[in-house]
Amino acid sequence: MQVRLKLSGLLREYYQHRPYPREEKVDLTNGSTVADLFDQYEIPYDRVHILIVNRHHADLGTSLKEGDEVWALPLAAGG
Amino acid sequence: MNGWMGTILRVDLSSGVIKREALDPDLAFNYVGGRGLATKILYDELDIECDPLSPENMLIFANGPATLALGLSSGRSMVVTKSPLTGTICSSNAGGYFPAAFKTAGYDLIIFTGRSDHPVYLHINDDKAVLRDASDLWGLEAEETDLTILKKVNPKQRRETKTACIGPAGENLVRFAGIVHDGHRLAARSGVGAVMGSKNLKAVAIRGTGGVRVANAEELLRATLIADHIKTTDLGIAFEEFGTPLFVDVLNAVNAMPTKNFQYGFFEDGDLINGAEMYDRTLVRSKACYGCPLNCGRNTRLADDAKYQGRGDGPEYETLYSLGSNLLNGDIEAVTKMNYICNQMGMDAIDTGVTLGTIMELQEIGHLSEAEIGFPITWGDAEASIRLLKMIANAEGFGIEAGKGGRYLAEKYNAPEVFMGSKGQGFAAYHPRAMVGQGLLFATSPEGGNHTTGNTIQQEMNGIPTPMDPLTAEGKPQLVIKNQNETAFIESMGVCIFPYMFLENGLEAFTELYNAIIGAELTEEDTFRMGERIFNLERMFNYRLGFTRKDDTLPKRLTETPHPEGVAEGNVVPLEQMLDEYYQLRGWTIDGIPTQEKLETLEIV
Repeated sequence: MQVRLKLSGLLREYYQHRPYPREEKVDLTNGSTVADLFDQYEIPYDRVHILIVNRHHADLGTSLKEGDEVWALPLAAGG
Repeated sequence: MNGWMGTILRVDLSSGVIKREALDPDLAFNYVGGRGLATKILYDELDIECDPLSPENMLIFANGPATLALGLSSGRSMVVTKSPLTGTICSSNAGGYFPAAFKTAGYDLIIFTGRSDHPVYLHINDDKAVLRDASDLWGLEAEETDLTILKKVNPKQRRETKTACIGPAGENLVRFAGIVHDGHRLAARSGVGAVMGSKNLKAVAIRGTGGVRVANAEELLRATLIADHIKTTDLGIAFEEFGTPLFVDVLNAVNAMPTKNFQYGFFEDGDLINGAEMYDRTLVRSKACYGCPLNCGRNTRLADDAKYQGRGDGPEYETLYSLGSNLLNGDIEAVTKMNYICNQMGMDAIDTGVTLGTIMELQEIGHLSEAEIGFPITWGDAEASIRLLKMIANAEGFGIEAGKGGRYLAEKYNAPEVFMGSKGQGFAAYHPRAMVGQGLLFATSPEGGNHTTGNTIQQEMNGIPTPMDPLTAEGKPQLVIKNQNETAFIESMGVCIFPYMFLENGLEAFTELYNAIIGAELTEEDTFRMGERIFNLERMFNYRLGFTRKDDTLPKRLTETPHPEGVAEGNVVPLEQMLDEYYQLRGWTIDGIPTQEKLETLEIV
């Protein structure tokens, strides 16, 4: 299956392509979780402060399905 | 007086008389400085019923004891007056290098009264202060004003001379005109630039060579190490790399990015106007205000072969909302160009965007015709937005009406519910249906839709120090009171509120800084109470003008229409429930009026 991964702020350094894209399509085995996706990208879990799947909060154990949008964001404050 | 220069400059623009007087140390201590001290002076001296654009209004430029004192972003000053946009007390804050020059020249406050019969600017060179003719400056944009004044200055003193000026918007009394520091950076909000324009005061140019005495330099330097620590965190690094535009993604992800005049909290084209997009396409360099290690400012350029050209500062996150998502404008070059125009015309980008959003919705629902504006202006139309923006600043055609602000237009065209603001001031970039504490903040801010009087994002969105549900009323009245009181103290010191917002216990760090500067041994309870005193004094200023609970409002769109999407789907702001608890915790009546007992406790007479 394929999902879309969006990485915000400094997390974009974990994108595999250069120059940085706005998102990447990722092939995963069926039944994969968010943690599996992060492992594949070598994203340290503790650098992800907000995790959104399909516009709703999710966690590392959230199971993914074809076409899901995974959006990982670091810590930020207001301005 | 540690932390203070000890001198107030009083400038009567009607007579041209300039006087200096000694700063009252007790008054300065009790009201901290800046916003607090200037509010106290207005509270005691201003004919409170005056028309904000009349000669009777007073315009106060105010430093705090920490301005210039290094350590934790201490290059800020404030402009405090009665707002022509809201009719309330207001305080507008800006950095750059003007505040430091203001203080090194030897002044804590400059108080302008009256109205000059011709355009003037105040030129200060240390202890010399002179009003000079500004007829040749009238009509000039901000950077041109700055450069023209500097050309008149002795070349050896040019680099040390810093300006604060108005652009055409301030001259034309646009109700949301700001005051521009160093040609680019605005004390933007509440119409302080219109008050300056109403006095025929084009600019203040200051050169100073003095320094400020601090009580404990060693402790002060220790405080700067906290700033060094912030710089090494992920957040500090990201802040330098992306600046406040970093927050586009964050607010969009949690559906709190106001979109299409607050109809939505998610902007489909958010990826096109975020911090990464700016970093890759428009950023020249990051830049800092005086005495700040954080470098959050954005110096940008639009390419010569781009649709829009130019160079300048910004946009900040607030502008990416107000002139971007709020108008369904996903073109970063167009947003940047509109920001440059706002800066050079001397106009608040937030209320400019809120006013344009009001106009677009009024036209969409058929309350405002193309004929009245002179051309169609639909959602996302950058060309029409730029055209109207210039008409507002130059007071041309429909721009004269639009320059009176979104609330005025919404009421005039019989749809008051489409104005997205409180007390007449447009909302900043946080959708209250997705973070209801921010809604309570907007409703109770002394000057309406203001995010800098106690922003709740750190707690509501980041869950720092402890996780908090942004969608419910639970804990929000306590949170907003805490942030409002702490911010009133910290802002009045003359420092930027960003380091405060980045630290888990910002009040502790700033209490230490304050003690080091003025030589006191205050506790956090003491400084919290000083902030509470300032906030209550602002409330009393407004109450004397008739402001009560009936004015602590939010549009029905926020309190009755459910959020349509995402993590906040179905939510509304439980404002009345939060207000009941908020007033009770504040020690105010159910109508939002400070009780005599509360005023006595805070020693406000």
